[in-house]
Amino acid sequence: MKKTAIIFITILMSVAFAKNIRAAELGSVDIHGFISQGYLYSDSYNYLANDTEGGTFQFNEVGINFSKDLTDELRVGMQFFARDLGDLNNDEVILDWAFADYHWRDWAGLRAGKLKVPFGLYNETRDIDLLRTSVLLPSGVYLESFRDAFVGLKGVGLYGDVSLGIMGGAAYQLQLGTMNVDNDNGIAKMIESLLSFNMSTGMSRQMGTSVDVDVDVTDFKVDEVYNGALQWNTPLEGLRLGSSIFLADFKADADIDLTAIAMGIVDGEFEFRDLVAYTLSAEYTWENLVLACEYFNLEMDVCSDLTKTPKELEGYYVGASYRFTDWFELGTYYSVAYPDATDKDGNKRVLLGEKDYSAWSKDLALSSRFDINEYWVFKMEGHWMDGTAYLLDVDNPDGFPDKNWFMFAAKLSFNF
Amino acid sequence: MKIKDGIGIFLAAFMLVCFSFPTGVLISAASDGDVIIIGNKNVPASSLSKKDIQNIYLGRKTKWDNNQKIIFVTLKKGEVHKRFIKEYVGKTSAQYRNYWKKQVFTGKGKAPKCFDAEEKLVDYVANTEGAIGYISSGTNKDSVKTISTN
Repeated sequence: MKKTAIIFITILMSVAFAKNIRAAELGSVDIHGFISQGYLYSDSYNYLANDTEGGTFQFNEVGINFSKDLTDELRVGMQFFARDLGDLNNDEVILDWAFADYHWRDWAGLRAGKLKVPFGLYNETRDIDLLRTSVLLPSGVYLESFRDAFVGLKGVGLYGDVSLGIMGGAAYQLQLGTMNVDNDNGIAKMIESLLSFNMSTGMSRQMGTSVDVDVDVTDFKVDEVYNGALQWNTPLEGLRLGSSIFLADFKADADIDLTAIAMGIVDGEFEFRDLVAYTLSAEYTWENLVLACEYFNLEMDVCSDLTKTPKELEGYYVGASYRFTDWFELGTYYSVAYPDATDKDGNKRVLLGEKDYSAWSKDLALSSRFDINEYWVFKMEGHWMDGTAYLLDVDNPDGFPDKNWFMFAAKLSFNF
Repeated sequence: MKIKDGIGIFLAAFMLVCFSFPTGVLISAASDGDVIIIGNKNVPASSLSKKDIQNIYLGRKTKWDNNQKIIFVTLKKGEVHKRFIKEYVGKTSAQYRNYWKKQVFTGKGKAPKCFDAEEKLVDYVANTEGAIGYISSGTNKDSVKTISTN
């Protein structure tokens, strides 16, 4: 796969530098691409990548797309994408999006193929570093673990822009389809951690002694996925309000390691029923100042043969960015994420022998962005973290002794 | 190394990069000067509202009233460009550039053609059916029609 990634990057760079570094055209096919290389460093824990403590360059994204207008109404295109984040993805090239777009009217169009999922203000563009001020999106709303699951949907979508007269305008997207979720990506890793924790604590309680259970997800099966997003461009210039919703059911086959109680490895199936995730968003742009806040909530039932456990995640952030010069921008956000919305103060965690601060992740981020020119962007940011939620046991075998910790991220991006 | 060291790392890296860049001039208001909206002579509209122009340049209005496709073009940079994007589209140049990059990298749209010089933009609009653009008031516009704004 590394060879594929190298060929992919070589093609990208060749196209970019073939004739100038403007968007390339091959016949009437438009070609655009981006490549970014990042660096992550954490002073206490391995977060996002499995080797951030001590620093890692395993943090990059590459994409190239091709599109063509077949008629005034019909457009086709596709984008190939690869990324690396610690032990995840490893520059495996995927089809990021590929669809035919029939723009019948401005208020009604149809897309079919593999579509980007609109969820919150920035999910569709989370892979494209150069479009935002920060390196890392606020985890309160944009959980890295869910990134691969929320990134693309195979199906059909309706979309349009509707004028509301003096009330401004609205943009909508409705999607129906399904998705492929890999059994070794971020959501698999998070679910393995969640199920291992749930089963270990459950069995420990039953048996009156500490029992370690390891769950390894071997396959995901996703049924239909429904997604919708509505954005209201209000009459107040620069203010947009939005909401999105995501509905799905999926199953995970898993190997459950019960060697601790002499039962060996057994097959298991877990269902994640009635998953409903939604966001509420507001963004206000006034000249060079952008203010944004978003709220995220996800509810589902985690079911095995014998149990049904309701699960609710919640998060939010408030943020601001300001462009001081043509080349310099500063941004900040404060993001809060709760993996269990019914245990925000960590009392349940304490009863299970965990630290209370494992119930939350509060992130104060300060970002700087330098636009070297139209094509190159360099960013640096610091994250002052409170809490250890969403840090994975598997990446942090020494446990979580520190409540407060720091993370540094930098990224250099090129696009054409 | 803990939080206070983290602050030190961030500030040191930040200062290093800042001082490596040429001294920038703080963004200032665009200078005075009229922006004229122009169109190909076969464009059916002779006047447009600011909202129409905003919708056209954000890709939300794609056809003229006679169902002809709207082809909108921009200048690449300069005061006229900044002034137009700010007054008619309600964004800064950087925000507008990012808006179209978002469309391009999510497959939702094609970025507008942009020109280094106003004369080249006028030539393109004059020779392209359904085209609309903008120039400064001093540029020769005999080959195109002027579209008033209301």
